[in-house]
Amino acid sequence: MLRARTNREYAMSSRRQAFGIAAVSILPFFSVYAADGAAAPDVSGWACASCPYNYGWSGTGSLGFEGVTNGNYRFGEYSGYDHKGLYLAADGDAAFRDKNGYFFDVAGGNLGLDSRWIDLSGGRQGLFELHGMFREIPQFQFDAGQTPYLGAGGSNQTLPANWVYGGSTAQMTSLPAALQPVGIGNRRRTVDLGADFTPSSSNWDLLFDFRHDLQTGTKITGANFLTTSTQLATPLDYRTDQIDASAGYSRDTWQVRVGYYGSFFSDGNATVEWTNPFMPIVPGTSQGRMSLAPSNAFNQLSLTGGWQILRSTRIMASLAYGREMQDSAFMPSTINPTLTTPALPAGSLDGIVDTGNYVVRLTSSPWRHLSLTGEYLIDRRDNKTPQNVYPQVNTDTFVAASQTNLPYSFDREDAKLNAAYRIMPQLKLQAGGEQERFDRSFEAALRTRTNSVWGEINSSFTSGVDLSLKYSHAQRRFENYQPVTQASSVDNPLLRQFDLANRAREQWLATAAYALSPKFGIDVTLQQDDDKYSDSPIGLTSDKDYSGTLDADWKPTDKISSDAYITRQYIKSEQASSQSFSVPDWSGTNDVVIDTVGISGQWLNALPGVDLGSNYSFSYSRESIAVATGTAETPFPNNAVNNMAAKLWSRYHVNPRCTIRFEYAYERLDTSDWALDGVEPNTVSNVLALGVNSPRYKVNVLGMRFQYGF
Amino acid sequence: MPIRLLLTALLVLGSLPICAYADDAVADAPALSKKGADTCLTCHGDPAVTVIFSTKHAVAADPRTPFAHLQCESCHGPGGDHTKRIHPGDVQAPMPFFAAGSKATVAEKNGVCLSCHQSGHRVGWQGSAHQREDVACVSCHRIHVEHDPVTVVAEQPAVCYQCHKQVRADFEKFSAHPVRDGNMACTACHAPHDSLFPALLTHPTLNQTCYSCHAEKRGPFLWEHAPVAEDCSNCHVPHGSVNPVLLVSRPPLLCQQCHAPADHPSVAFTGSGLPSGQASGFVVGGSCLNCHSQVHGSNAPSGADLNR
Repeated sequence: MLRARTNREYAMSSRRQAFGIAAVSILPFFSVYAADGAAAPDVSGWACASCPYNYGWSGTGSLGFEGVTNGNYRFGEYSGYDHKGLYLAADGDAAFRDKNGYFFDVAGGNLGLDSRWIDLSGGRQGLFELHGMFREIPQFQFDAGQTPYLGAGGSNQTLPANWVYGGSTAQMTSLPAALQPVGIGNRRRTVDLGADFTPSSSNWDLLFDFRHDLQTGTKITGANFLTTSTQLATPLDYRTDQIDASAGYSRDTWQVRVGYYGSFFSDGNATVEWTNPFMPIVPGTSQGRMSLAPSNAFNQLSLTGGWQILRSTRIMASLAYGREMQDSAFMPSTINPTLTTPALPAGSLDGIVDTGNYVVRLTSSPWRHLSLTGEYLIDRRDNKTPQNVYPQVNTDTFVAASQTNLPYSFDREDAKLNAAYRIMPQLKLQAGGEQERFDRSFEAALRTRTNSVWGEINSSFTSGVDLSLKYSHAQRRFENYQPVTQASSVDNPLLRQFDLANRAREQWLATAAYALSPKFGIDVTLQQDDDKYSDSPIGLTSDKDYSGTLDADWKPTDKISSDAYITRQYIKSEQASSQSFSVPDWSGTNDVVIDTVGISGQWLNALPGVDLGSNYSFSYSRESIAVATGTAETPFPNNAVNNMAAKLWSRYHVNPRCTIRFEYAYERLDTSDWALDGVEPNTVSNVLALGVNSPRYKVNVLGMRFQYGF
Repeated sequence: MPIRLLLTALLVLGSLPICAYADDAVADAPALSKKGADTCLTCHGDPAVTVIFSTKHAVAADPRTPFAHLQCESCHGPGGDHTKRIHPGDVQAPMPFFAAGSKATVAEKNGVCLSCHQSGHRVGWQGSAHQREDVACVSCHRIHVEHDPVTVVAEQPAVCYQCHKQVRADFEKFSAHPVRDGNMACTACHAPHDSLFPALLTHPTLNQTCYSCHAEKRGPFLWEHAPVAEDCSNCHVPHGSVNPVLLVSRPPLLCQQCHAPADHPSVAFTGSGLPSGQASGFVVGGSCLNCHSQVHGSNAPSGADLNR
């Protein structure tokens, strides 16, 4: 089984354990076994003679097939079942252990699919571990796109020789004959290699990890000339190498780790060029060129540590300093040969951003049932990229006013103080406060301050009943709001960007869990988040997110278990704006209701040697968008996503080593999206679209596999 | 300054424990069992218990593991009381930790685990959100199993969903990271044990965490989109959305929440811009992104409007 990241963290401290549980002296509540310095007990007679250590090889392997009806790209996204037909079903794991601590683990899954993965690790426990991983993830956005471009998905896309240029898509009479299918999606392949040195004879440990990601495919990119646009399938050829290395040193009362993290990204394509399918408005606009993601690098040094100052007081800190760099060569201002532009001020950006992320936390329990935590955090983005004046050619069409780049920086400081007091074993009160100061450059609000308070009560007075209620209130205020005048276009002075605007935020969270019996339990979670932007004439004015969940689990016997949940979420946002660049003259409302249901159960040994199980999930969302201008307007239809998945499985144990598993799954997806549905390549007069539609499918999967254990 | 005041107050309070708990000290620890695991296995030899011998906790060759020390009692505590002979009418004493009848608090139980696992990525457990909410290590981790589900990519989310109910529903939404499909674990982004940084993220900030898989958006770009460089969650919800590409809402409304310029009026687009009416490029397809496709930043010299 592929291990999650936490499993790689097996670097245990090498502190001497004079008493097996002595080290818990770090906790004030646990003084009974605080035997630092005490004589080690004599356990020389503990032979562990009856301990059934499991040395040698063990594992399982399974092989079979899965048949898929009505293959669909969306069903295959992430899963790998993207087409109709038979798939090899293969997975397995094997492990080796010996008495000296040497081990080797290998596991793999979905080996017959494009979502395959393999995980390897080996070494000697208490000394070192080498590990490796390969994983492939397919991501299919659309598969029914149509484009007239030759070389679609590449860095140079041209139109057929007989292409008829038009002032609108309707006038492109050669379009229907030129259309060809194009898929939009990508595959990510990840290789991860690492080595951990965790010698038990030393207080040091060394961890090293290297990860390589290769992401190839296409994505949709809008490419325009003034008021006409084309949806292109542009290339995606990303390579990212990441290195994570650290050294740690641990003692009884303090631990420290120094680390390095590096990320190096490169794009196989610097630009994409395409032929303008529209009749050029001005000479020279037959070709366009766009920059793709530039290569970049990030290096970061970190220092993390904790120190048990006193038995009940601990200080922890994490300090990380990094530098982002980007210096890819600029493409010319324009591909248009008829335009004359001033020389660029530089051949590349020489972009440098220094990041500083520092946090210190102090926890203390001055009295047995009281604990206090204080935290101070700095999050800094210092953009040292040089500012220059860059000549602008608007969409390769005409020379516009030059612009100066605005290297954006911010500096955030945040302080928290939290207190928890357990009044009695069944009742705990918590409260806290937080103050944040956020300074930004080249933003409409150069400084915002946020003050917040919260309180929480947890109780379990009645046996089997746990209740909790949490409330928080936060108030964000800007000091001064002035539209950024250096930007290429200046916003309405009444606009307040929601990330900078004055905001009152209220959040409630209530949970109740009731174990009616050891076999049956239910719990309820209610959540309410309310954001109000009362001082924003234009922009987001309110945002609500309410949800409720009911969970139940039933385990009548050791062999039968089941659980179920239902969640309803309601999201509503309201905004206002101005068509006339003056006072607000229209408003928009976005309402979303989402219902989610999940049911699962299993019955082991339902028949002699036969296990049965099932899973069911259902998600149904309705999105309603309304725009009001004071006059009768054509409403938007609702968007909806209706997804249902059901699975039945059975497992027959032929003998203790051999198992046959049967599985049947059915999944249905029905979606409607007004931004996509009915939009063919020539539907919009000034946008040559890819003609993709929202996905719909009904898929059955039938599988059988034989499993052998050893 | 309030920040300094808060910290000063905390330091003063933190110094109080110097004289606290003086009466808590217990001179003698409880007695151990007579033969360690051999004693335990006399009664507890069923596979649900002995599977521990297939795990990393039971590698006697590694001097840091429980079975290189006090064996079962390394974690369950001294078993002297539990294993002593009982007379008719007596009630058998429970093992101190991780056993039926144990009176150990969450903090005490966690203390057992932290006695070995305080280093590495658990340095900051104290004061973390999970510690504050009394989450026990064994609420998430299973020790007596060959593969602890929370360390397995495909199985980990179900463990986290025990408390994070809304997140479970989020991952069932139309647009979501591949958690539901078993390709991604919560720990790809979150460090549940100790991250000192917000939301227990694996990297110091949300953006740095996102860049670990989406490095193409790191830049720095010549033409930056400030809210992007500051916080990906201004426009995206990481756990799941009913809108495409994890957007918090749909363009053009999403973009119009922050943009209303003079030369590009914030027009009230309605259903009349759909194919059933006069299809508008401001509404359908990519909406604003039909032209301003470089919303994450552009490195084109002429890309100030994020369209090159």
